[in-house]
Amino acid sequence: MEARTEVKRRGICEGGLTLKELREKSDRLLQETGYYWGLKELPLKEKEPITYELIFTRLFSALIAAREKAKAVAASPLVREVAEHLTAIYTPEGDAVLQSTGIQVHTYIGQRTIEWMIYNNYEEEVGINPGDIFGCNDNAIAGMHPADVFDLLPVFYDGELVAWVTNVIMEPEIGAIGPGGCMPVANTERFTDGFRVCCEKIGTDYKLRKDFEWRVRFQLRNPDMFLLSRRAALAAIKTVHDEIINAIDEFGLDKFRQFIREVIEESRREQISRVKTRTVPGRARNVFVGEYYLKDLPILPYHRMDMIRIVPMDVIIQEDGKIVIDCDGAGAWGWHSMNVYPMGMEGGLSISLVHMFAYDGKANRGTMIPTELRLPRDTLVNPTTIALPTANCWSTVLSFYGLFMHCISRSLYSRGFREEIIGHGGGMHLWEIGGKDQYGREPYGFFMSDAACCEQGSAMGIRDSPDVAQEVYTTEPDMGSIEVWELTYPLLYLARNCAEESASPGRFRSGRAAYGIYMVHKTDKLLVSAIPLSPRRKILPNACMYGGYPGLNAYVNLYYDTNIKELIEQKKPIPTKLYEILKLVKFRKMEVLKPTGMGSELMKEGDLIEANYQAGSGGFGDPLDRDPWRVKKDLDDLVISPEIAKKVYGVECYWDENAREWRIDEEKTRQLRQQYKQERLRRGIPTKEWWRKERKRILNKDIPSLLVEMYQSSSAPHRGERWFKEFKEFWALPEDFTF
Amino acid sequence: MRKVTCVASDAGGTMTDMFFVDEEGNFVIGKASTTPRDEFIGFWESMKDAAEQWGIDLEKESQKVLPSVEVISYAGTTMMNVLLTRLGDKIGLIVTKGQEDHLMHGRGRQSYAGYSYDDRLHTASHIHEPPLVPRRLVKGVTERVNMFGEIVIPLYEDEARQVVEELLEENVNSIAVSFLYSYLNPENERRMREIAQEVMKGRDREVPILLSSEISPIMREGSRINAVTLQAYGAEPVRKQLLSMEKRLRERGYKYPLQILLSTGGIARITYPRLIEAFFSGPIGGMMGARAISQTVGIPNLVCTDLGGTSFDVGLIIGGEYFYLREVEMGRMLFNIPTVWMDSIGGGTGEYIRIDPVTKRLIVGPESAGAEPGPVCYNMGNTIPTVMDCMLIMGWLNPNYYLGGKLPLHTKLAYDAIKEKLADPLGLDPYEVAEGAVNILSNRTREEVRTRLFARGLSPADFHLLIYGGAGPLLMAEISRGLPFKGIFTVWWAAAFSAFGVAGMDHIHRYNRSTSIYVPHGAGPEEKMRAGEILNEIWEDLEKIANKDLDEEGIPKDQRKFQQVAYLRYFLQLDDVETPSPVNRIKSPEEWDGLINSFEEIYSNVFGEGAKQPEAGYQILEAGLIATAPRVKPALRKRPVSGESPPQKAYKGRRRVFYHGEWHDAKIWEMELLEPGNVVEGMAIIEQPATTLVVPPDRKVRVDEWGFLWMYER
Repeated sequence: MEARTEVKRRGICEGGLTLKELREKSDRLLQETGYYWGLKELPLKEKEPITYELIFTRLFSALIAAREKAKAVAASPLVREVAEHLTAIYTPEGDAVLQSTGIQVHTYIGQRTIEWMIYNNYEEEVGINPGDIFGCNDNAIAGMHPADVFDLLPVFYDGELVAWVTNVIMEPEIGAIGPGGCMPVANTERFTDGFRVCCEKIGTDYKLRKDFEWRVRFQLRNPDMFLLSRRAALAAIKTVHDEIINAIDEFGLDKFRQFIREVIEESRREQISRVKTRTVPGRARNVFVGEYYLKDLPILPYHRMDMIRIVPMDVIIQEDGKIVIDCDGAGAWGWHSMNVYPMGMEGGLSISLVHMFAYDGKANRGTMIPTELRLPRDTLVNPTTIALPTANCWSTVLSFYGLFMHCISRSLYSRGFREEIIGHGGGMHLWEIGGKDQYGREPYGFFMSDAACCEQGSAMGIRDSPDVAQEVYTTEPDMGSIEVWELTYPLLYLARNCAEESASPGRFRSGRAAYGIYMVHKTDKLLVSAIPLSPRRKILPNACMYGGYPGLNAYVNLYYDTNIKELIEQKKPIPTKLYEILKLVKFRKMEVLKPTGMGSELMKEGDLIEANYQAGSGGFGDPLDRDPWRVKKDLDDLVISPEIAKKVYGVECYWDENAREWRIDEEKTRQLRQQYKQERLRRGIPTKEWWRKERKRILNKDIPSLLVEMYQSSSAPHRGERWFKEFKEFWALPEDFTF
Repeated sequence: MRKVTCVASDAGGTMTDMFFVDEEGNFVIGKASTTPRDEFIGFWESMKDAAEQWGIDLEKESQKVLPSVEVISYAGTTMMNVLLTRLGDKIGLIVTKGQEDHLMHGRGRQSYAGYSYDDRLHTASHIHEPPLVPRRLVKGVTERVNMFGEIVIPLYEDEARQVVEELLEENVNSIAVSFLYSYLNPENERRMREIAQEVMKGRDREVPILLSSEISPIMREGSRINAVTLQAYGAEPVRKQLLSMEKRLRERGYKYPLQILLSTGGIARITYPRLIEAFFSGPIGGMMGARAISQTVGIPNLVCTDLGGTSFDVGLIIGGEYFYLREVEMGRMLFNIPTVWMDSIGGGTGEYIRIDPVTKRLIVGPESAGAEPGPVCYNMGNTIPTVMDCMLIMGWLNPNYYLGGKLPLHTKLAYDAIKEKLADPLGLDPYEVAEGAVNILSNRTREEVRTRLFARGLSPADFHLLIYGGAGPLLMAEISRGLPFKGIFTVWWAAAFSAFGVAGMDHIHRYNRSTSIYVPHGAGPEEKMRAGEILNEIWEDLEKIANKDLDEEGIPKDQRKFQQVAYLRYFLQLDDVETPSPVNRIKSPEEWDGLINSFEEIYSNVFGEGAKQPEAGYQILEAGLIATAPRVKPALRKRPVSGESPPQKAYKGRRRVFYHGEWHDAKIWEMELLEPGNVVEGMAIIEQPATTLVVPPDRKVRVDEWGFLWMYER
């Protein structure tokens, strides 16, 4: 055999630098100067502002066009119907530059994927060439959970790597352990977490590789849907790729290079400026609580246990505009699918910043520079092993960042930016299904994602929140159409409406939450598995602001062997509202689907599922301060009942038959509200008294054993030394106190 | 007296444009303010203005002039006001039980629909518009059709009677009905109507019942509920206005039915049942005009751009035809109404210019000064500079010839505002800032054009660029700069181009029907023929319906043309591609393959070869028919070509014009006095009362034999 002569190549980046050298140069310049790429000045932006805007518009237009193109090719309703995807541009060394609208939680994560290639010397070991397509969905490398699949395309100009274009799509079936195969809870090691693409070359010459296609076909339940997503991604990234080349042709390579660096530095400065302008320096605190009930799950016996974990957050806004999130005191990771790797936590932070500060289209690496996430090692949010599954990492991330936005909202409020408050976004109790579909296809799996894509919003600082129209992980939530979703699962919606009285009360109320009632249809084999996206369970998060009330709890109930068919045959009422199944339907067995549980039996035609998806987000301000006119409007719109108007809002009202609308009795309302306030004073106890009582319980360890174990986990010195010190100070506990 | 044969209008938010065509195809344009309270007043004023151009006093001579008019057609954006202002009718809505909150929660997408990019990302700004129907007047009835079109739950007739009683008790003026999957199986909806009619008979009170399966038989229940609701809420009241307009025209001598422009690109009588299609027809008149030019002059591929004071619209004509969308976003709601595709983007010359307090970036738009208060130079109270103010101080616009001099423009006010609000804070020269703002707008419009092409995998090198709208010719050179179009042109009637389009309309009706066809990869001849037979049957049925409609409209059989279409996708995909069938019936497996080849050719042109997935098999969920017939229209005629030098009478003098950072001594020309063959070298301004064409130093403009103004590099 003829020996091959390896020729040592120069680096593929500008000036012959290798990717690693370029990455190190970027990091060094930032560290030495404090400015991204050492840019104390922004010459292109300052001296040629019009050219700067021209390049921005050019690239941004390409990103938008690309996103639309992907929607038209994809088979997944997650892309076409609710646009769960994103296209973005990165510098050669992996820093996020610009992105389309969509699931912007992934903007920063794409950066970590490119860094992985850099630090693992893909340049030489794997080869990075024009037309190569890389794929990645391994959260140990970068990413939230395996369902989020990245496709990456390098952009070369005259032989030099000048940028990366990425696209990320969430897949509703990823070959994980069933049922469902997307976000399973009976999943305690990464090996059952789904199909993995470990930052690999999956295509060349702008086409998918045949060997990759075969791997997909052999390992997924729905390979065609997955492959069409890859083709959708390819259509998108190639569009942007070509447009970058065109932009360089027009403006020149130097100006392009200058632009992608200046736009990052500009975003860094904007982030600092916005924080300084809108917030007050100081510390706001909140705590995430995760409950994991795994004892009865069909998982490996040595992973069967219940546990509760907290992740405290100190959100520190520094005078220099930097935001620090310190999670000292976070509890230990566990053998379950709700752990998050630091990249996932970074993703959550980056989308939260878009929601609250950086919504001008230039959220990028620069936005993240003036932030710091302090995640103690060996915890739920920074595990020490890569062997963990992360299918349900959103369980932690959604609620954590909902609470983070709650902290930021308090600071915005202090500065007078009440209109910017969006507070905590609640949580969801979702589910996935597996078995056989209505077309007889088996194995089958699907993630019930419609309600995931759009939850009730928390009350805002100056108005009520819209119904079913807010989401932490995207700024563009949408529930999609029943007539599209039902094509993908063997269920009939008997109802998809807003839950009665689900708006969390306050001076401004939250939006209403969605619920669904489903009849299993055209299958005799369907198993339901919970997806615990931060539903409220037993411990309520602090979701309300300034005296607002919490809302409903989320739940999913399963009803087996019902008489629904008889009811239909006899044209008797069938359930279309929450709790109506109990009143109207006979059934053999009713089961409450635990947030981390599975159905105990297979479901079949005529069985019913009642899903109150969304855990109430918080209200804002005291309901007794709500303008009675708003209460009247809610009555007219059937958002609340007259009982709630009276009991919660202290509003006396009556129905005007002639005008066909509700009227407020202003005098009686004033008196009733006065009466309620006096009753509150009578009911209350002094804080000191409450504190003494609770302190005694702590000293006596008069708390459930799960909580004792939770405190033990958080107070371990390597996880929460500072946190535990402050805990002891607050409760005036002896220095040597331990759990 | 000149014989007027065709009258077409385009009623915008501020102006109603009119287009008169005589029997020889000559045409003139008229303009008058739109009068939203009684549209006929503005409509009639605009007709009088057009007639005046031909020396006709329509007020006195209408009984002599209007009897010869074969068609008067109406198009306009003002119908949208019913939706935007929520001033529609009191109606009731009946939906499948369990969906009663749909209009309240809409879709999440509707909470940011129509927003600028910044606001889409800015969660705190998201909000639902008030529902068209109060929640109390939305009723649910138990029934259910499944995803295969099978009735799983029959209509609960007692409930149906009960809700009709309740709605009649509330004195609703009509009732809209939309059930899940009624587009696949309308049986329950139809039975609902029968029951409602029985109830009404019993109460001796009748209101119209509208079914979503008849108004908008297309997948996606939310958009279908919206469509049938808007038909009941808005279209029926608008129909009353149109009938009143028709009556008054008849009183003045017009003999035929008033016609309206539909979003599908056709025209129809105002008694047309799906009048909702007329709501979205506002911006597409121009597309009709572009198509007429494309087909008459023989320019198959056109990028059409319409730039006005508040918006910039972009559409494509390929092979002489335009595209359709089957779901549109209007008034921050989604509707599944087939609509000629034309993207409307904020980006007009009325856009405000500001400096971002944090980033110090120059921000152009998205808000516009509109007609009231208008730009600073209108002197109607606005003090925030707009792009039009910039164009005025740069000498692009003639302060004494705007709308033919009817509206004087105040250059000093504009200059002072630009200096104080923009230039001084940035430490720049006012003219430099003015040009920067104009460049940002022109760049944005150019990128919109580029995006539309790139998103479909198309290249400007295969297209001509047609620019119209009152402000279009101002940015003609800039919109096209750097894009290698085959040619760039505008017309002297650019400011009333949409009305021209309406005047040039053919009869076009589109008919669609849902189906379910799946042909796997590598299917044998039998499977292909089975699929072909299903299509043939649908096409035959649709042709019968089309012939019935065209019979009623008195269209001779020999003038009718039918194009059979299928909506093809790879199995599992959620979007499809409208594919014209190469044959009118599929009679062999090879002809099926021909249809598939047409689909794959269109698909790979748009999405690239790498996006094809034939292994998944092919699916058709909808088939359709496009029925067309010709109609009287304005004639585009060639005129003899004279020399390159424009006649002296067209020359209006000189003006200082700022362009590319320099002042130029520009020649000024009167647009309508230029003759075919004339060439105008830049730097020059070619003016017309309603539009202005800027010819930069590196460009020249030539008038061709059709009277079109073509821009070339010098």
